[in-house]
Amino acid sequence: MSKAPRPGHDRPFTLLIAALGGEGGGLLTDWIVDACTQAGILVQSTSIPGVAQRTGATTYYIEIMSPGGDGTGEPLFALYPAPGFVDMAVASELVEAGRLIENGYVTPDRTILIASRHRVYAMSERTAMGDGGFHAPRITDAAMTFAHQAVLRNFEAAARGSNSAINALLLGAMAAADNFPLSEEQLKTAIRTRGVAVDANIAGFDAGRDLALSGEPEPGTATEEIHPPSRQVTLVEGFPEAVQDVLEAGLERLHDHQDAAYGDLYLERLKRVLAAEGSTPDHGVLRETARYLALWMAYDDVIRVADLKSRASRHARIRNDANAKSGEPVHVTEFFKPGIDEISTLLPQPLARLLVTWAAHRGTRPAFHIPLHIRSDTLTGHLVMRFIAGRKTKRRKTLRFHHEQMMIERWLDAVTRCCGRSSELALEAALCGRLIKGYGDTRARAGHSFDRIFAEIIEPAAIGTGSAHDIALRVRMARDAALADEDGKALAAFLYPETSDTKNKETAPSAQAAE
Amino acid sequence: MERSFAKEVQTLKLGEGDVFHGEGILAITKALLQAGVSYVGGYQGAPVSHLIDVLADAQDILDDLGVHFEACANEAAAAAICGASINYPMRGAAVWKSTVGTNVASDALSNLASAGVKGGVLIILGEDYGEGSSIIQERSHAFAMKSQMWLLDPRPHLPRVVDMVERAYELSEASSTPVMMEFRIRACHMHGRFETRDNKAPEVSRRQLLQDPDFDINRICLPPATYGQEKHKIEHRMPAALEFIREHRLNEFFDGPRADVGIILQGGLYNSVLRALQQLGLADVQGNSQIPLAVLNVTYPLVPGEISDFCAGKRSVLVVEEGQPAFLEQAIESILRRADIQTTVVGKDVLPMAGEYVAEVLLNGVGKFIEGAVPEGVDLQEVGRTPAEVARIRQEAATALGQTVPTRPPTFCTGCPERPVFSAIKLVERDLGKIHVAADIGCHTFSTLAPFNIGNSVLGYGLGLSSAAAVGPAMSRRVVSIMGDGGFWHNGLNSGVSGAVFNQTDGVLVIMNNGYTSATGQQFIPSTGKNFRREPTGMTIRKALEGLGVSWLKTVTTYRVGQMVKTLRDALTTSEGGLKVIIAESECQLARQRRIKPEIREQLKRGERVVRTKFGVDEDLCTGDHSCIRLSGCPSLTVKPNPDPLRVDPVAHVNDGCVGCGLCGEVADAAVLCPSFYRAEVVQNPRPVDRIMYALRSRFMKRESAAP
Repeated sequence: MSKAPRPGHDRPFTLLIAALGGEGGGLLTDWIVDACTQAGILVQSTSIPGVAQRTGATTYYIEIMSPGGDGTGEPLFALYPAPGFVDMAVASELVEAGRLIENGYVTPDRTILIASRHRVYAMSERTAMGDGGFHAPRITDAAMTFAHQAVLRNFEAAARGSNSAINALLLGAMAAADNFPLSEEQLKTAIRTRGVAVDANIAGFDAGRDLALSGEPEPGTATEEIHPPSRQVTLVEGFPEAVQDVLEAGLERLHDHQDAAYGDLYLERLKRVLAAEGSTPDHGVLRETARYLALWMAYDDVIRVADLKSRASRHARIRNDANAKSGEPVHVTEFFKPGIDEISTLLPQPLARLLVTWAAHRGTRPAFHIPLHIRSDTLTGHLVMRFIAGRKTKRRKTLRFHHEQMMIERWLDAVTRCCGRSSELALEAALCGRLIKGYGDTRARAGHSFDRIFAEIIEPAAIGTGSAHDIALRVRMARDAALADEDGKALAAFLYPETSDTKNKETAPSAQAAE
Repeated sequence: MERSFAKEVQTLKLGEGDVFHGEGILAITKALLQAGVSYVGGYQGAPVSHLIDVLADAQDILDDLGVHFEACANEAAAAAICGASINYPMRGAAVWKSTVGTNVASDALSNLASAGVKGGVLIILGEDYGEGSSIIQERSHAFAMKSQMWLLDPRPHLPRVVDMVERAYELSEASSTPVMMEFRIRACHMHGRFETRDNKAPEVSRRQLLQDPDFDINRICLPPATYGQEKHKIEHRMPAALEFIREHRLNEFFDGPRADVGIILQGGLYNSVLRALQQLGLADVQGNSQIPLAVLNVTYPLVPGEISDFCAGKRSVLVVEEGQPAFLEQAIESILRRADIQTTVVGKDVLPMAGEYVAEVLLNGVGKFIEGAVPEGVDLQEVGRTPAEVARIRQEAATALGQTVPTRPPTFCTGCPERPVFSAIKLVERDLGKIHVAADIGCHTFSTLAPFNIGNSVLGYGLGLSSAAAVGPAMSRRVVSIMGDGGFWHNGLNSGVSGAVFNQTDGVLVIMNNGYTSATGQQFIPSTGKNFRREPTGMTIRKALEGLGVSWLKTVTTYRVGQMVKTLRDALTTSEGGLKVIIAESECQLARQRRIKPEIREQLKRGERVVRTKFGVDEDLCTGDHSCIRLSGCPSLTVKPNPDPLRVDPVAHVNDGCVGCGLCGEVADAAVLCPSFYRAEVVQNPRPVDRIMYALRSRFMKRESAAP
C-alpha cells in the first residue's frame, strides 16, 4: 500500500451499515447517496434487504469517492464489503456490532466503529427458559480492541429522547467522525430534499452528532445494573455483611406478601443455613438460599396476583408503559383462567382437598378452566380483585401453602446437609431454587424437574459418599438440562441415559418396520 | 400493493441525455422501455419484485407507449406470454426469481426455445443465491444449456447493464433464440447512474395492432417440426449467436503486464474479483488489473475462439465461476483440449465448489491462484500478506467474543396474522401429540424456524398439500398441510386441492388468507379482491374451493387462538374422510399498518375518538420462564433485565412496536400460561362520557387504595 491513502480521495471510502429490518437503513443509505449525488461525489450503494422486513439482520454497503482531478477515470466500486477494507462500520444495535467484528469488518488499521449500545434480543436469547442473553461486555471490549476508533453510545435511547429515529442519529454520528467524506450541511440538505419527516430527522441528526461527540463513558461499565435496594433498612442482626442486601429485599418481599411473622420464619430458616455453612468469606450458599427462599416463600398464587394487579401504583406504570397522555383514559383488561388449583387456593384446606380429589377422580383437573377477562380499571373489576387479595389472611390455611412449605423444608434440609459435605455442592443445591418459577403448567413442570434432581442426585449425595465435586458438577449440569427444553427431555436424557438410549434403539427398528 | 411507486415511475419517463439515478432493477426496467418492448410479464419475488411493482404503477407510461403489462398468475404463465414473439416481431420480457421461478416456467421455456422467436425475448432472472437468499441454492445456468437459450451475466455497472439489455434483444433476434439475463441480489439493489435515452414505442403493440395471424407449421412444437427445431438450434441459431457475440464484443478482454497468467470470470463477479486484486496489490483504484482478464458477460454459450485466444501463451488461468456444477470450467477445459492449448486451468481447486463468492472467499482464492501460478514480476510475499492478516484478525475476534454472536434468522413480523396459527398448532400438539406438517413457501415457512419449529418438509410454492399425499396415508395421525393464499393461486388450487378432492385424500389443509403475496412485498392476488389497476375481481378462495367440491370448509380469524385450536382439533379428529380445509383469515399486518396509519392520523386530527391498544406484562408477576415467547415469537414480545433485585432471569416485556394484535393475551389464555399479561386500551380524543367515567373510577381507586 502507498503511504497514508486518504479514503474518499485516493481510494473509495467504504461504509458498511448493519441494521435490523424496520429501522430505516434504506432511508439512511438514500440520504448518503443523495448527499453524494448533490455534491457531485461519486457513490455506489447496495444492500441485502432479503427477508429483513421481519426483523432479521440486514446490511447496506456504500462506497464513496471524489472524482479524480487527474483524469484517470472513475474508480472501481465493489458490491461486497471486504474484511480489512472497511473505513467505517455502523451498527444500529450491539450484537450487530459484534457480528461486524466477528466477520472481520472491523480492523485496527482503519475502521471507525459507530454502534448503538442498546440490545434488541435475538430469538435464541428471548426463548431461553432462563437467562439466554449474550454477554454484552465481550462485544464492547472487542470493539475497543479491534476498531481504530469506537464510538459506542445508546443511540436508541437518544432517538426516543429526541422524538426521532435511530437512523437519523447514526447519520449525525457518522458526520461527527473525522474521516467521513460528507459534511454536516451536505447531509442535512439531503434530509431536507428527501422530505421524510424532515424536522424530526434534523433534530435526530443533531442529537446523534452531539452524542457521538460527547464523552459518554466508554464501555466497561455495565449497561444493565440491578437496581439498588429502594430504601434504607437497619441491618439484620446475626447475619453477615455479605448477604444484607439480599436479606433486606427478601424480608421486604415477605412482609409485603404475608406479614411480619412470615418474615421471621424466613430469618429462622436462614439461621439454620448460616449455622450449617459456618463462616466463609462470601457466604455464597447463604446468599443464594436467601434469594430463592424469599422468592419461593412469596410464591405467586391468585391472592398475590390479585393484590399486585389492584395497586394504585400499577395503573400509573401501565399508563406510562402505554404512552398515554394525560387526560386520556386507559382501560385495562386482565386475562385470568382459573382452574381447580386456583379455586382450591381460595378454599380452606379440607374443602380444597375434597375438590382436588374429586377433580382428580373425574380426570377433569387439567382441562377445567374458567376464562375470565376482567376489566381491572372498573369499579366491579377492582372490587373483585381486592376481595381476592383480601384472602391473604386465610392463606396459611390453604392447601397450596401447606404444600409449598413442605417442599421448601425439603430443599432447605438438603442444602444444610450438603453444607456438611462441601460448600460447592451446597451452593449448587441452593441454586436449584431458580428452577421454581412460573404459573399453572409451567410451575408444575418446574416442580417436577426440581423433584427429579433432588430425588436422583442431591438427596442421595447429602448422605452418601462419592466425590462432592463430581456431584456438584452433576447438579449444575442437571439444572442446565432442566432449563434446556420444556418437555424435560434433556433432563431425562441426562438423568437416565440408559433408558432413553434403549428407548431410541427400540423405536428406530419399529419405525423401519412400519415403513 | 398498498405502497405507491409514483416516485420510481418518474425515472421511467427520463429522455435522451438525462441521467438516471437509482437501483439496478429499476435501471433494467427503464432499459426495457428504451429497447421498445411490446409486452412485459412476470411473477414477483426477491430480488426482482421491484420491476413488477413499478410497472404496475406506471400505467400511464405503458398506455402512452402501447406496452402490455401482465401481472401473471405464476412464472409458467409469465414464460408463456412470450409466445407472442414466436410468430410476431414483438420484443418482450418476462421476469422472476430464479431458480425457483425458472423451474415453474420450464415447460413454457422449453417450448419457446424449441419454436424459436421472431421478436426478441429477454428473460430477466433474479439469481437468488448466497447471503440474503430465501430459496434452495442452485444455478440458472443449467436451464440455459438444456433448452439452449443464451445466458447473459453482465458486469454490474449500470451503463453496461443497460447496453446489454439492448444487445440482448439484438442477439435474440439475430439467433431466433430467447435470451436470459441473470442479476444477483446485490446487483439488483445496487444504486448507480446511467445516461438515458427516450423510450421507444414498439412497432407492434396495443396501439399498433396486428391485422393477420401468422401460421407457420415449423413453429409448432409437435413432431415432425420439433425434430427440425432441434437441428435448427445447432445448425443455425448457435452459429448465429456465436457470430453475434464475437462481432459485437459482448465479452470484454482486458490486458495486463503479467501476461503469463489470466483470469476468466463471470461478468457479474467483475467488481468482486477486481476488489480482491486490489487487496492483493495487483490492481489500481480505477480497476486496472496487472493480471489479464476475460470478462464473460455472456456465460452461455462460450465462444471457443475467444477462450483459446485469451489462453494461448499463458501458463495458467483461473476460472472464477460461482456455484456448482463447474459448467464454465468444464467447457473451458474442453475448448482448450480441442485447440491443443496446454494452459493449466485452475478453478474449483482454489475456490469453493459451493456457496457465494463474497469478498473474503475471492481474496483467498485469487491469492492462492497467484501463489500457485507464480506470475513473473509479482512479489508473492506481498500477495500473501493481506489474506494472512484477515485470517489473523478473524481468529482473534472469535477468541475475543468467546462464542458466536446470536444469529437473527427471519421470523414473523410484529402482529403477523400467521403466527397465531402456529401457536394454535403447538397447543393442539400438546393434546394430540406431534403432527406431521407439510409446509409451503411464503412468510409461513418461517414456522419451521424458532420458536415454532413446525413444518417437516418444504417442496415448493403451492405444493404443501401435494407434498402430504403419500406421507398422509402412512401416518398414524392426520397430516396438516399449509398453503398461503399466494401459493394457493400460484399452483396450490390446481395441483393441491383439485388433486386431493379427485383422489379423496384424507387430510387437513390450512390456507393462510392474508390478502396478498406478503413475502414478496404484498402484491395483489385474485383473492385480494382487486387487481393492480384497482379493478374489482370478485374472486375468493372459498368460492374456488366450493367450486372444486370441498365440503368440510371452515373460516377462522387467525387471532382467535382458542377458536383455531378447536377447529384444528375438530379437523384432526373428525370421523369424516376427505379433505378438510381451514381458511385462516386476517390481513397482512404490514399492509394493514401501512393502510390504517394514515387513516388513524386523519381521525385523530379531526378529533374523533380512537382507541389504541397495547399489550403489556406486569414485571412483578413475570417469573422469567418465557413460555409466552416460545409460544408466540412476536418481535415486540421481548425480554429486559429483571427489575427485581432477587430475581436473576430477565422478564418478558412488550416493547413500543406492539400493534395490539392481541396474540400474547390469547396465547396466555388458551395455553393457561400466566396472569401477567394485560391489555391496555388508550382512549384518544375521549368523549365526555369517557372522561366522566374515568374521573369517577380514578377517584374511587385513590380512596380505596388510601384506605388501610
